[in-house]
Amino acid sequence: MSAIDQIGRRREGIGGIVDSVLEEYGSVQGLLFLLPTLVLLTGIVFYPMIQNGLLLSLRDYTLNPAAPDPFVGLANYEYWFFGAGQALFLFSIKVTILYELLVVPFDLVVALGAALLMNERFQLPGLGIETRAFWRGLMLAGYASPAIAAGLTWGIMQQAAEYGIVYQFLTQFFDIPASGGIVSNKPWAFWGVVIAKVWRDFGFMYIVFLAGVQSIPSALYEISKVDGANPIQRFRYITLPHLRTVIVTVVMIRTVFTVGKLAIPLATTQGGPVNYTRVLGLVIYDVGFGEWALGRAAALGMMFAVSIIPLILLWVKTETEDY
Amino acid sequence: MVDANLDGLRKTFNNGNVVAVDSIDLHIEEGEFIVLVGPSGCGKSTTLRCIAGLETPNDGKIEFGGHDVTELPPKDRAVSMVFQNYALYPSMTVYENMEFGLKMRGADRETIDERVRWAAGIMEIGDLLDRYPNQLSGGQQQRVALGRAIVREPAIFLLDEPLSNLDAKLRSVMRTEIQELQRKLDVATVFVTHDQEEAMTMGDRIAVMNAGRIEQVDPPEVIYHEPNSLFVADFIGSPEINFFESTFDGSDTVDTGAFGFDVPSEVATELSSGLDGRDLVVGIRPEDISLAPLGEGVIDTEIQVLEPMGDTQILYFDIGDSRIRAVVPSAQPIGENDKVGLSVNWENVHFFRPDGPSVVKWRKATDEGVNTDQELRTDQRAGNQ
Repeated sequence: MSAIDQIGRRREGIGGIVDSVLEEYGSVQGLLFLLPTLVLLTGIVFYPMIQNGLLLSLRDYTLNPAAPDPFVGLANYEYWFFGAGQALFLFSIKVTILYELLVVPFDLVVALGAALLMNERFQLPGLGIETRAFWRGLMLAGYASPAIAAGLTWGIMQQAAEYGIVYQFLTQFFDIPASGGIVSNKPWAFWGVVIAKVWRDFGFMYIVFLAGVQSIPSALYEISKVDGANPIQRFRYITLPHLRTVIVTVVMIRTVFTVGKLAIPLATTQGGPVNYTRVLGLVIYDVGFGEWALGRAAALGMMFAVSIIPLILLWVKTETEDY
Repeated sequence: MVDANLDGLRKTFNNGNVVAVDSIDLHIEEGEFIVLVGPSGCGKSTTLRCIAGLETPNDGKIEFGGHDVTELPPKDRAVSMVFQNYALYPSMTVYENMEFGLKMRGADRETIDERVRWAAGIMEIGDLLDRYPNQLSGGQQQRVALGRAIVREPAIFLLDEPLSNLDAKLRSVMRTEIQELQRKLDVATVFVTHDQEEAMTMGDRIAVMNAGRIEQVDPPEVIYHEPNSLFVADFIGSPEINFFESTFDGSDTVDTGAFGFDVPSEVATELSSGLDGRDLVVGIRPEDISLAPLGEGVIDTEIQVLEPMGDTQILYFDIGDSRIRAVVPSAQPIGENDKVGLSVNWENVHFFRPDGPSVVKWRKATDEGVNTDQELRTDQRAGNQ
C-alpha cells in the first residue's frame, strides 16, 4: 500500500490501532523482536519512573512498613513552591545554575589545555616521547578516581591545617579565614567545590579533545607554516574549528551530566557552610536520605527531571545536527 | 625568479638510525620544472620537505638565489606547496583558503582580493570561491590547492605527489594543466612523484632517487635511453625493462644462459674495460623485442600471457627463470600459447655491471651507425631443451 493511499484514511476502534501498529512494525514477529527490550526497559526505567518518581511524589511516604503512606495529592509540590521549602528550593536552583556555569567552562579550558599540551612533542628530559604515555595517562587520574574519594580528599586538602595543602597554598595569595579554611567559609567553599569538581571531571573532555586534536591532519599544520601562520593563528584557524563539533558535544554532555551530580559537593563541603554549596541534587539527597521525607524528595526530583528535559532536547539536537 | 641549490643535503631520523636523504646535490635552474621520482621511502618527499623548511637537514646547505635558507622557517622562504591530499583548511571557504597566506603576512585587503581573483581566474575556480572544501570534487580541490599556492607569487613551487589522489583521466588533464601553469608562471618547480610516467611527461629534468640518493639527473629522454644504472633502467619505462644475467667471454660473445650473441668490437672493448669480471647484466626494453618467424630469431619460445593494449599488445614469455616482456603492434595475429621466435633491436641493448652501474649502450659504442644485420650467433638453448 502506498503512503499516499493512507493520507486522510481514518481507522476506527481497537482493530484500527492494531492494524496501524502491525503496519508500523511489519508483523507480529516484529513486535516479538521488540519484546525483550521492552520488558527490560519496563523493569529498569518505566516502572521506577512511575512508582518511585511520579507516584512517590504524591504520597507522604515513610520507611516504616507498618505506617500508612497516604496519597497527599500535590502537597509535596506545594511544600517546595509555596511552603517551608521555598527558600531552600530557590536558593539551591541559584547555586546549581552558578555551579554549572562555572564548572563546565572551567572544565573545558583545563581539558583543552591539557589535551593540547599532551599532544605536543616535547624534547625536554622526562617529557619526551618515551614518557608521553605516562603523562597522558596521569591526566586521567582524576576521572578514574571515585568522586566521593576525590571530594573527601579535596575537602581535607582545603582545611586550614598543616595537611591542608591547597589551603596553605591559596592562603598566601588570598585572605582565607583560618577557622574553617576553604570548605567552611563563604565564598571560598563554593570555589573549593568547583576546583574539586573540575579536577575530578576534566579527564573526560581531555580524552575526547586529545582524540580530536590527534585526528587533525598534520598536513594542515604544515601548509599553515608555509603560509606563515604562528602558533596562536594555527590554534585559531585550524585546531579550534576542527574541534568545534566535539566541543559542542562534550559541553552539552557535561552540562546535562553535571546538573544532577552531588558526590563532590557532598564529600567536599557537605553543602555547607549552612546551605551555601547545596546544589539541587544534594537537596534531594538530604531530604530523602537525611530527613527520610521521601515524598518531598521525589517531588523535587520530578521537578528536576522535567526541568532538564529542555537541556536534553538541546543535546539531542546538537548530536543529530550536522555541523 | 630564483634558482635553488642543494648542497650535500643529509637528513636522518630516529637519532641517525634512519637515513632518509643522503648527501644530495641538486641545482634547480630558474623556471625549471624538475621531477623527483623514486619508489616509496627513497627520500624524495623528505628532500622536498627540506626545501620547504618543514624538515631541518642534519647536514648540507640549501640556497635560494644564492641566499642560504637552510635554517629559515618555512614562512620566510617564499615557497609554496601543494600536498597529495591538498590540505585545504576545511573550515574556510575557497576564498579564505586562498587568501590565508597573504592574510598571515599582513597584506592589505585590496591586494589580497586582487591576487585571489587573479589566481582564481588562472585556475578557473572563480565560481567556487564561496564554497567549502567538502563541497568540491577532487579535481576542484586540486585546483584550489594550486590556486592557493600561486596566490603568493612563490620563489619556488613545491608539489608533493599532487596528482596521486585523482582518477586516471583527471590525472592526465591536471598533468597538462600543471605544466602549462608552470610555464606561465616561470617559477622553479620541484614535483615529487612515484609515477615514472608522470615524471617522464612533466619534467624538464628528472632526478631518479633510490635509498636516499640521486641516481641520475637528466632530461627524460636521456633517462630513458641512457640510464646510468640498473635501478634507473628498471624504474623508468613501462612495461619494465628485461634483464638477463649474463657472462661475457672476454672477446666477443655474451651468453645469457638462454641464448648468446656476438657483440661488435667497439662494445667488446667497452665491456672488457668496464667489467670487473665476466658477469654482466643485459638490459633489453620490451619495445626492442619483436616477433620473428620460428627459428629465425635469437630464441623460440611460447607466449604465456597476452595483454591487449589497443594499438599495441604486451606479450609475456618465460625464458630461463625469468619472465620476459615484449611490446608488439596489435596487428600481429597471435594468441596465448603460440610458439614464436624473438628478435632483438640490438642497438638499443644496455649492458650493466651486476652491482648496478651502466657499462655501455650498444648504440653509443658503435657511434650511432650500428648495423642491425650483425652476424649473430643464436644457439637457442632454451628452445632446444
